Amino acid sequence: MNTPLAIEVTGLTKSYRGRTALDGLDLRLAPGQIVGLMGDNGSGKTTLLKILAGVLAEWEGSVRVAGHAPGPESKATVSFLPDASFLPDAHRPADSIDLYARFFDDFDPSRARSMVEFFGLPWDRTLKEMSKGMREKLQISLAMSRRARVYLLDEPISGVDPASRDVILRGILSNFDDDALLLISTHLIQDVEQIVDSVLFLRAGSVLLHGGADELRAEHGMSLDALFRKVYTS
Amino acid sequence: MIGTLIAQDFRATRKSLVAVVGIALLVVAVSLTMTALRVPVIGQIGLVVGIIAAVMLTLVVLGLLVENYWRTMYGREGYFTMVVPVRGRTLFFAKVVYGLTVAVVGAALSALGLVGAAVAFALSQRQEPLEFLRTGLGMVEPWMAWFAAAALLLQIAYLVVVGAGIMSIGAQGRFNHLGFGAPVLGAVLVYLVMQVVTFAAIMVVPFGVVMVGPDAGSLVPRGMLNEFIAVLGDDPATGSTQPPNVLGLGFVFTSAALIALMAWWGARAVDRHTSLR
Repeated sequence: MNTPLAIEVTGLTKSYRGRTALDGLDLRLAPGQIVGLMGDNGSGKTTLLKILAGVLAEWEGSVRVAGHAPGPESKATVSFLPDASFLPDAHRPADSIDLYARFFDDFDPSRARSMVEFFGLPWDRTLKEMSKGMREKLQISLAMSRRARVYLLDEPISGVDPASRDVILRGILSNFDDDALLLISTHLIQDVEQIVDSVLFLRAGSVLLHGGADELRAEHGMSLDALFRKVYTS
Repeated sequence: MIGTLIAQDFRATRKSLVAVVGIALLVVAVSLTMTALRVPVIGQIGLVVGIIAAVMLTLVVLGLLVENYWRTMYGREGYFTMVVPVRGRTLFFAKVVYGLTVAVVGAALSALGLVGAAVAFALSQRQEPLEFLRTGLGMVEPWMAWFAAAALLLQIAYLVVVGAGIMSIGAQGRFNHLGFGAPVLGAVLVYLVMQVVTFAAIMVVPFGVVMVGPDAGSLVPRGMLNEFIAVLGDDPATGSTQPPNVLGLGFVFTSAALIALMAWWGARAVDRHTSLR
């Protein structure tokens, strides 16, 4: 029996006031892997993730996430980490954990508390009093503590120092369910090179390159970081 | 889930609402106390300040509701709200129900403040407050009191539902490059259109209430058009101008129609056209 696809996108086109962000994009991703979503600025990474998460409408084409079109059913099985600080400034970590527990049936509060401890976040500080990296870690703790079928992480390690990036990636990996799909967008390819199973390079809203990380490295005889630089400077 | 959403709005706004309402009530209480104690100069100003603070209370509460709606739906916190696994229309109606509840409570507190102002004024005039209130209320026909209360509730529903609808429509992909400017422009447009539509409805819709005479308070099947034309034909120089006897109630229908339209359109906008920037 074939494993149902975690993400199935056909002919996806999205324009912002006449400017094309996604241009007939086709994509099929199976569960049980970590996929690096890479591309230069304006290549459509964030737009793609927003559509998959169900927070961006008015597109053309076909989109299925965990077997559902973007909507309440897909949102119940998709955990989305946007590239924005989306929690109230007045929240302390416990408040945010309670918030998630109220709205998501698949949320595991004890796992979230463990991640907050793992990241060494202060329980008594509000988000307003936290650094950007701390806020990012809290949001990752929440997103990864859902028992989702699809995780969509938009630039989770951008803007944090290299040491924190490693800690964040370890936190993500330690809480990732092997049966799920994790789609992670980033510019920092070197940092995620060792954790991704496959990569997806976008350019101008289309898939430029898609393949297994090991296969691409072997085929081109270079690291993914070097391949990215080569592809996007050519 | 709708109960959870409403409870979440309460959690998100309770501190700012309590602060604003608390400050407003404090200003009302202090100002009116000055009036009641007949403190020279300050007492007279206090009555005006107290009345303004009481009225402003509802307006500021409505402002906070607008800020909360926009921030949690289309600001950065919208990234949480919009991934909650419910339909967009559920989010919309939860916000509207919460907004209506808070706005009605705010209006009730404003009304209480105005009653307090009347009491303070009576005391400043060395009159018995309850007797003063009784006399004042006795001057108002019961139908007028009911009419005023119903009109106030309709106005609150109008502001909350139409306001939420305009914000959600303005946040659709085709308009959201304007940011909060889109709903502001939408509100101006709706205001202008409704001025024309409401005026026309008051004139021509055959539904009104008699304002004067022995039949005051009776509903009659006519609008204000004939009397309006008659007034236009009067010659002010001869002093024959007569105020209209009937108040056209066509605005009730136009307001209710706009509330229904914006409830449907706003819910649809969240459901099908949500586009976070």
